[in-house]
Amino acid sequence: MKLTRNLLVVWLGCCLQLCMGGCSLMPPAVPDYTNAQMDFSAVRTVAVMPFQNLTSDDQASERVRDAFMGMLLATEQIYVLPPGEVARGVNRVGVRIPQTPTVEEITKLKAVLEVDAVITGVLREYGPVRSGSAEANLVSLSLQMIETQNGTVVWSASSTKGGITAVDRLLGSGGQPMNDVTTQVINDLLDQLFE
Amino acid sequence: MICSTSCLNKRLAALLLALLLAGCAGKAPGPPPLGIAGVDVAAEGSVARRNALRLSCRTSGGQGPVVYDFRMMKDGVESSLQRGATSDLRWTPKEPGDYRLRVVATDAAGTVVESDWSDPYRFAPLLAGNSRYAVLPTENLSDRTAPLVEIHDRLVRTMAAAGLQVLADDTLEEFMRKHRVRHVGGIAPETSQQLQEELGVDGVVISTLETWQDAVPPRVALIARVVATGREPEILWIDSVGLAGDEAPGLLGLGRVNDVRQLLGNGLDQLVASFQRYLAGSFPSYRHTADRQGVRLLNGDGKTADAATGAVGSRLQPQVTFRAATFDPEREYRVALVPLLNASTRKHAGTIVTLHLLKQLNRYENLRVYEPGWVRDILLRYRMIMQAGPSLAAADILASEKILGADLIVSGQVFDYQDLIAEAKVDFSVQAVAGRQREIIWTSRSSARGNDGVYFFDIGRIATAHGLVTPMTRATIRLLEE
Repeated sequence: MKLTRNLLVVWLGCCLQLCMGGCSLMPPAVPDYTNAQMDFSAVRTVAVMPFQNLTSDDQASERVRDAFMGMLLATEQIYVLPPGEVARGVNRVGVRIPQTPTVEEITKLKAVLEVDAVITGVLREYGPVRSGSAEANLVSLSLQMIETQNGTVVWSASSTKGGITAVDRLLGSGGQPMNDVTTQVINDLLDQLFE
Repeated sequence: MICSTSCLNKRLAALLLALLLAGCAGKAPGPPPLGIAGVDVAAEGSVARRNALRLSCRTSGGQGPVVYDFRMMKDGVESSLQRGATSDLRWTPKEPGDYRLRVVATDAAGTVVESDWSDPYRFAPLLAGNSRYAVLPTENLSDRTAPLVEIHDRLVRTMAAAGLQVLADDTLEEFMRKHRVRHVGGIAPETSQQLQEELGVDGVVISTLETWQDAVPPRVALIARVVATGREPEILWIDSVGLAGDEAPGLLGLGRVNDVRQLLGNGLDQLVASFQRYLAGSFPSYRHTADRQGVRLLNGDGKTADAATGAVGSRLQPQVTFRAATFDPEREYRVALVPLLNASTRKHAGTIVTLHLLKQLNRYENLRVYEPGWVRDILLRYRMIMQAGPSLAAADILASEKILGADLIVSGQVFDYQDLIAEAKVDFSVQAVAGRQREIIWTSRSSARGNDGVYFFDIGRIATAHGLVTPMTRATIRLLEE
């Protein structure tokens, strides 16, 4: 009887340790910011500015921006200006750094592009990460929506997906394809935007 | 009791009679019912040229505005050509053949009247057995050194062996020198007209080398198209072929091909055979059927050189797609294809994917794609430099009736196009802007690798980027049109 009780305690201890380990693998949730005063239903047209690229892959931000624009348009809630038109607006206004436009530049963009908001972004991670023998793709992106009337930030959120999971460590799989991880990140951000 | 009931019946009958008479007296005489007084059809010539057919429908009676649905019947498939308040139609049949026409008119009250089918109107193809072809030097997009003169000579010889009349090389060289023609990847309207008037050329053959690898295992991919000459060059046929020496090794590797020239010969034979099927009227094409009954594949037993008329697997379907609810895929559209931006490490990848999209778009009978040389000519003339794709101002120029008159402007970006090193990989996005509405009406993003979904013994592996991009572009255009 005592042996059974000891075995049960050991068993429960193992389970607790596994649970704690699992929890420690989950990335901490980063809260998003939504301006409570903003009427988001008034945002009909947006311009997605080129994303700031903090990764070693030169084309990564353009890939993610292209995927984001397509997925945002596919929601059928907001119309997204074609990238060529955004580039034309940036040239006409003379935005010095399109990735981080100033308030004055954003209000000028409103007049040229006739958009209700602009979306800027920072791509923080894009590529494989390694830990020991395990390797997996990771994408980390943060976005901001700035309304063009006053140039104030009305929404800001970030998301990180992919990375090495416990399964990758145990079985040595190479993680998910980069496209799938990118789609997950964008879906997560769109969920935060429309929730 | 009986007396009382009888009296009531009499009163009721009198009341009903009075009501009936009052109703008749109050009713004004309505308009005569909708009818078709006549349909006038005028055909200009027997060749399928621009505005070759003019239809005009006269109706009588009916309530409110009338909606005219112009329909045609070819090879037993009925399709709608134009639907709207306009009672006239100017139409250019894209493909040769026998066409019968009729009009279905509907008034505001929902009355539907149909005219009888007209007599068949036969349109001959722009090219026939005795047509003369100018074969432009092969454009090299392979990013490798390749024997272009040899490839061009073999194409000319294969065409001549198939009984096609090809313009002599020195005559063409003299013409190109005289008119300073340097770009061989397309044909501008001015050059097209000069070729027709000065040399009597009916069709220009434009060939593009997509992939060339002579080391074992060899790889060859070619895209070819035939453009009818004249003031407005028109793409008649386009097809492609992609072959790899190790794509079907078979038992003990006996099916392996190690000689690149053998692959080239096979590829050219397939392309010329495909063009001959077009001339014979058995080249596959897609057509929308009337009343939204879907798209039908015509001449489905006729093969294309790229063998891309069948179903496309889920792994090659676009990952993200959007089509505006206002877009009507059944309508006829004129499409300007702006070369896709190249963000990949492979040189010319944007042009290659553009040509594949052109090939798939051209197979739909309701789409008329402008010759890329024509679009290029306009982009150069108006100094349009597009570092991030066409802007709405650029779309306005291409959509202007005085300049090009495109209904849809298709562009996009290529992020990956890899086939010579490691596994084949293709990643691109496409978008279409409606010229008049100045809005994106369609966007799509596709990405795939040759080894996706391959687990055992390379079963299902796609060896070349050409083999990947062909079904991927097919699936992409299918989501636009179907």
